[in-house]
Amino acid sequence: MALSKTSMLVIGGLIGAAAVVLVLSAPQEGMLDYIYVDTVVDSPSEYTGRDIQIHGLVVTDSLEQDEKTGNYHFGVELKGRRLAVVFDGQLPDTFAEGGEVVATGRLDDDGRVFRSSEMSAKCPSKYEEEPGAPPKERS
Amino acid sequence: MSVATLGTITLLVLFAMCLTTAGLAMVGAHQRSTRLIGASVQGVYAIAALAGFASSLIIYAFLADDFSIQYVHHTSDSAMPLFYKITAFWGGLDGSLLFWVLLLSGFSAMAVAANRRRHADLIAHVIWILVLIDLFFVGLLIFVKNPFEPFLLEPELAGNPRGLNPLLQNAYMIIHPPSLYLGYVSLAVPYAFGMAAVIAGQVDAAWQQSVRRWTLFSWTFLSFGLVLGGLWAYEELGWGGYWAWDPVENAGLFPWFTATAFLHSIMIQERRGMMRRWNVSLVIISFWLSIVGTFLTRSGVVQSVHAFGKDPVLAWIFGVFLLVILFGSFGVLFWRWRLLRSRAELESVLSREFAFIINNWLFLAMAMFVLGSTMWPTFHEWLGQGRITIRESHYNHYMIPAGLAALLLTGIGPHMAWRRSSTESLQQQFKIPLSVGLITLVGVMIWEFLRLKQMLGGTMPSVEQVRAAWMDHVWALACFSLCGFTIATISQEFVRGLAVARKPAPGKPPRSLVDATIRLFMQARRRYGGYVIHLGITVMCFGIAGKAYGIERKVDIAPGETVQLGHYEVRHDGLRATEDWQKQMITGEFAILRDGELVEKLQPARWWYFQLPEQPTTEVARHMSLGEDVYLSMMDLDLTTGKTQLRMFINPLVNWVWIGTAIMLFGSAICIGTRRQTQAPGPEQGDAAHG
Repeated sequence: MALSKTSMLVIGGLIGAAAVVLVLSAPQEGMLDYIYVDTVVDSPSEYTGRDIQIHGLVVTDSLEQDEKTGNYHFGVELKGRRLAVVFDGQLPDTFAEGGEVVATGRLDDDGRVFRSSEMSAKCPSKYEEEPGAPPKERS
Repeated sequence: MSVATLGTITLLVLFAMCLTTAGLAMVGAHQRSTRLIGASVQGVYAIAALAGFASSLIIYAFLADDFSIQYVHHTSDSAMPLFYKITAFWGGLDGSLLFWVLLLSGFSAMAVAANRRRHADLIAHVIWILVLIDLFFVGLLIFVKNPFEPFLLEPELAGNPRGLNPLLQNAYMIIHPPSLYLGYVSLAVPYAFGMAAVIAGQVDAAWQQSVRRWTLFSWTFLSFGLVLGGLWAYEELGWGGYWAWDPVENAGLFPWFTATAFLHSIMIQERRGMMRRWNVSLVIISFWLSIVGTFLTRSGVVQSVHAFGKDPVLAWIFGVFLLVILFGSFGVLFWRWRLLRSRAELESVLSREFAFIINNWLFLAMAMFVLGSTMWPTFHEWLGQGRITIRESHYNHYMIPAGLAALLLTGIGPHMAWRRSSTESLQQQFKIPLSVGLITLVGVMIWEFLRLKQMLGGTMPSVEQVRAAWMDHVWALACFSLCGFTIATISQEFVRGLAVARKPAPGKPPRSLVDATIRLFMQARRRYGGYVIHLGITVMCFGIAGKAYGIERKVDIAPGETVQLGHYEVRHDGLRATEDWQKQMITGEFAILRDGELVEKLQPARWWYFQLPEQPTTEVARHMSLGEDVYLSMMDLDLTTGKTQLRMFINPLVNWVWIGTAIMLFGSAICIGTRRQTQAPGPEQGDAAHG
């Protein structure tokens, strides 16, 4: 005797429902737009109100630390566009002025300041990496 | 003649040998000529020998510091320790492709030698399929990535040899890549047997056993390689974790999932003659995903800043190869579609078949989800939608429930009867395990409550606080409960099996427990080996769930200062600078205290390799125990004041992940060691065997 249609439907329905629940409850920050600084500066209104990642170069001589809060303030730029970043974590040790950074956070509503608490800095490696060897700095 | 020239000539001969062997095997299969097939078997051995020779040449070049060869120049330098010079063989792209060829031709020779008589009618097809795969990689070596490529100009112009990236100069890195490669490459063998059986129209029992054992072999090495990668990340990268859904690590997971699915569903085919099309499909998909994995890790498609930026030529060649395998294999499958029809039907939801089918769907879904998520940013950018990043939370959101569902099935599946379980027998089977699962759940919830109370300094937490704590760790609670359930089902099987095995032969005293255990494993190795694998996986899950209770702190700490980390205190006792011929080392002295008593002194360090001073490595220090790891890694330091930026972690239960892996490998070894069965498996042997 083969399996009845009803039981197949019930089981299929349950699995389908579980999948739908999972998709609907997915965290918004699981997938982030990854945007270059110049694009953000050109059309800030498109990127406010949600977490994004920005990629740019740290402006030389722009790094300052706020005495009271301990937050870092610096500028990132790309193609002549510049954006102010407030960072409330600890700087990754590959962080360097003039170097590339990818910062995760949120743009202020007026689109002028980017508040971030997670950042990775890239150092251009001339070495080939092995599989499974992402020398990522996590911060 | 220089090593470079000799190496290139060897590769050319190897290429010609592959072409000849594939041709002989194809014509031999077509004409059913034993003479031609015999010649192609010799060809397979010759290919293995040539690949071995080419590999020894490149190793020789590394040992002799032959920097006229570009690959040696890029991945080695004369100051490197001998051991790393040898492993630099697979430390870069070109060499790792040669390593592929070496493994594939070695496995081909082994598989052909073992099966040429038993599956004489299939072997010609097996040979040409394996050799064509070999040919592809040898072709890549010759035309795109020749590891023997010398410098055209004077090598001095290229500057100093670069050496292996210091991050890779680590003991785990010596075995992690080869282990993953062993897993990837050996998947070609079941694929070749599966395709050969379909082409020859012999889809019955004959090929199943060879295919199953090879897949288990691949699966074991994939598992081992994946865990080693995790261990390496844990000890070398200093961010306190072992798995971060990195695309390159994910690549090893795709075929692992589908191979896991296959190892279960092949049992349905063995027992019931069902799911034959599905099984062939899984073998194809597993092999295909192993090539996808190679492709992703080798071409830079997912890792590079711009898609296809790193090595577009290689990416395109691999892309075409992948399409050929996919369409070719499924084309053959559809051609033989009618031959592969199922011999039986699913009879009940309450049957082992059905549990295995759900298992299969689940594992396939996980494979597709991880593959899709890994590739999604690349596709997103291709489609002109801009770049996106997929983060751990995305993977965890889907994979944690899916993994728990798999853990639940681990407990249920093996205890369902084939065809149909009666309600009474199910009650009998699951009475104790379900109770154990529930008791575990309640126990862990109480423990969580006590923990909260302790954290609040002994005051009674409010209902909301307790509920919030439970909800925060809801997946961990579920996981512990399922671990209890699964371990109970496995134990129950062992207790029952042992009770039977201890029964004395007429007129003799009962057997000892040791004797009975050995008998149990000898009589039904696949079955009990499978249970041991399940036990290992369950223990791993237990360890993974501990992460939910982890503590992480980042502090700036000066010598003499003490900071709190959970129930420990960490005291900075100073820094010390040393140097060897390769690097400068700054080592921190930290004391781990508990209630004022010294637990252990830890020495995390940062190393600056002279050849790569801008990229210091983090040397983690751990206080290990079965309960938890105290894990310290130094981020930044000021040598004049001794002030150190320290990352500290408490990682509860993390060592159970490695213990579970060891148990799992032990179980695999028992299963792989299964002796050949000449007749169809009896009810006992054919019964379980999971992996």
